[in-house]
Amino acid sequence: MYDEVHEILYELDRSKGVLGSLVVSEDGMLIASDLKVDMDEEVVAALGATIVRRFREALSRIGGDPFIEGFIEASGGNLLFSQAGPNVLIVLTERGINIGFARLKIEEARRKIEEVLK
Amino acid sequence: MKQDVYAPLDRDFTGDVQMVFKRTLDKLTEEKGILGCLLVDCEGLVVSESLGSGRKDPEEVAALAGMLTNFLEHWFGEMDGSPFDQCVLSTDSSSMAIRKVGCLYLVVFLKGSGLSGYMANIVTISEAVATIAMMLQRTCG
Repeated sequence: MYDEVHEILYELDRSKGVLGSLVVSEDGMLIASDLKVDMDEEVVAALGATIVRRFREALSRIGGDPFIEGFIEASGGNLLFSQAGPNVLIVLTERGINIGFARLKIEEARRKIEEVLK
Repeated sequence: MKQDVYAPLDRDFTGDVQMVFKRTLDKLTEEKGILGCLLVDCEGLVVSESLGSGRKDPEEVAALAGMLTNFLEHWFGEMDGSPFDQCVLSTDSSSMAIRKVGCLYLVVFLKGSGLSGYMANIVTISEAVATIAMMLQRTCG
């Protein structure tokens, strides 16, 4: 099962501008990852889960619906988040990539991951 | 002909900064797909707002945006020192986008599922950001 998720991430990471991706549980446990950059995947997983938790809190405080996806742009690159069932798919990309195109690839990967981890 | 509301300010403009901020936010809120917006400082205080009556509480949104941006600035600074520029949080019916503009943050509420509402309004939001940035540069140097 985890090999299948890794295969999906590997496929996603072949998209232009994508630097790596991870699937993280709600509590920050790393389920699978495929990073092309030299970063500690456990740290990225914990950071991603913490950010998503903050996003959820923020949306609930302003009376919004549940979080489904998010995006952060920093000068070093982008972080994209997509809720995949109870887990979160986190994708690291270069700055300045086509977010619309990246989103399509992420959505495709998200659907497959949700199906595999169901 | 559509009025170019985000046109660069007159070089000799001496009007009230608050008035320009308010005018820019009001025009942004009039755009299709945009539910409201506000300008917040780094301490989470409202600088100017255009959320419309009966909608979200500006003070609460500003405090929330201040908290979220402080958190993100801290984390990104710790990770690789790269400053945070913007973030977008989406639900299946709306989004909240936060863009850094100098020492302030522009918070925009958008209609639409996921990031689609934001994607559809990137240009409009960027134009408003440019106007605010120009005004800040002119007044703060």
